[in-house]
Amino acid sequence: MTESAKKNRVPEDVMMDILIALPIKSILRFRCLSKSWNSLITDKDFINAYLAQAKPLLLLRRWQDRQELYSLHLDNESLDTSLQFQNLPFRSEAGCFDIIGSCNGVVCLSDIDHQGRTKSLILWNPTIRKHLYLPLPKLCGPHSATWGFGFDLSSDDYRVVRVVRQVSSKREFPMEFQVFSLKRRRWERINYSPTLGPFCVAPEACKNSGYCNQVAFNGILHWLVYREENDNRRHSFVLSFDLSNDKFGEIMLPECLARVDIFWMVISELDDSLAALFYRRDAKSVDVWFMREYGVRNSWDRLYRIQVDGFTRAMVFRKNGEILMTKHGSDEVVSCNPRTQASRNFGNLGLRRCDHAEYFVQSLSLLNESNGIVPRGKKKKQKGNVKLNSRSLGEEQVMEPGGGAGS
Amino acid sequence: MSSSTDSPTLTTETTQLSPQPDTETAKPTKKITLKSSDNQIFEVEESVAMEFATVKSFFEDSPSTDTVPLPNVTAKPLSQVIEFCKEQIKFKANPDEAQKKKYNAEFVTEKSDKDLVDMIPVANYLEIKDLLDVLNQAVADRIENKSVEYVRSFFGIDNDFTAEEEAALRREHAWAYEGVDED
Repeated sequence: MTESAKKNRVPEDVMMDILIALPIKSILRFRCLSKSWNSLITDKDFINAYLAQAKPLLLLRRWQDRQELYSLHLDNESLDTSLQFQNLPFRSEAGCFDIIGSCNGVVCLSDIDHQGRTKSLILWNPTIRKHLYLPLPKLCGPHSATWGFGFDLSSDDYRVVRVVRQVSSKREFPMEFQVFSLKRRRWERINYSPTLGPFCVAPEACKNSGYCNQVAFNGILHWLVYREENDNRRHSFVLSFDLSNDKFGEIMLPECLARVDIFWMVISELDDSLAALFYRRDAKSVDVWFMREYGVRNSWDRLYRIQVDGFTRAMVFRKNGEILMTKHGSDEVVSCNPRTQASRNFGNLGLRRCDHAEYFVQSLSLLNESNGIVPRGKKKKQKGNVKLNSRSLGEEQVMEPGGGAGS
Repeated sequence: MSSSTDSPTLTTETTQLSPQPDTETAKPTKKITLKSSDNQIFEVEESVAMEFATVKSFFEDSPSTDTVPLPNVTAKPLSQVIEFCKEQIKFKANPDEAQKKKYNAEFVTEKSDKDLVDMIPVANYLEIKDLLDVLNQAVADRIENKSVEYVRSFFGIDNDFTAEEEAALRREHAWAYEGVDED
């Protein structure tokens, strides 16, 4: 090659534009081209640029042949399958993972057994086929807990949040708030405003399951929770946690929803604000509520009442105006146009036994994260590897909330 | 401002290289002279030259110039870029998205890998965004399912990894090397 031809190489910023037009599988392969391509691909700016242009797809989780199956679908008329994630690189001891949430193409999964014990906690980017086992927080025995997962832009960090209360018939334990930072790789205890008072994170019927009724957007996590009031009536509300300042808050539901058992409700996101769905068993219909102004109680509005025979567990507001729901019991996927009440059932397209749906983007997130955390359950089995054992013990020490292990 | 005076032979060596003869222009339009790094002279209509953001700002800075030297650009890719821009001017006058799409697709389809790769730095230097987008997508389409070795030779990349480093990267994403086209 002549010198002038060498000078005419494709400039780096153009290389980035070419790479962005490629699927992730090709991008990962091309890390091998040369050192400069590898550093371009693993650069945070490139990873962010890829994420920013990624097309939103729908992530569904369903059951087939006694296995959980994760797949991506185009947000089109027939929910065409874009990709199936086969042969999961990890297994659930409890039989099935709970999906805490997803963010930037990363799914957060927890494995909680029937006694409510947390067995493992995983961050998984299925697109690049990478997963990280996270250390478990304190209090992983049989507890009533709810989880949340999100990304904080200001600290450029993934966070897992757990709200937990030890269950005991003997005495009332206080709530604990635990936050895991991927950057710091440890759990910390967060103080919360006492004005929130005691509350419950899971309905009676789901006390020991990995019940999770949460939605995260704009760096704020939201859970549907309730407290028992003096008159023995329930008062349901939305607990919020702002990842940028670690502050908890309470967002009121409209009067008529506040009295409803959270078991019959689902929260979701619409236009950067909260939406709540309430299944009315007697009327076999769902009411869809929307908080027109985020945080303002008076702005809750009932948008639609949709005839649906069966309680829905997930709710996605699609770009085409339809509402995607997964029906409990039949676990079928239904997309409903709330204006015409017309609904399409995707069960006959093989989307049966589906219990989870949300928007998802394919990304390179976690590409640069080292895989240095050993799952708790595997420690004993890895007898031969002393180094790993001592390391994972170290992780446990720093996990102690409020402990000074970081200093 | 660099000029041609430092190499006096250039002024005499003007090879008239017009990629496509302008037959339809009856009235005289203002022409602009571009000079490639290999000393080829291109006379293009002002409207075409103004598609090149770099040339445009050159003229804004020194309006009296008659020849724009393009020290980073060789003749062959430049002639192809001019060809592309001439067509874009027509689409500007008579917008037809479908035809434009068709032209753009044909423009890149008939080019060799080398032509595409050589045009990219030119389109980038001259800041012709439409062309750059077309080229980037065309290159992405051509390399998407190709092997590492193929893509290295496509771009003329020297492998600076040691065998061990490369093997480690291949192990990290072994699945990404499956189902790749034959070279």
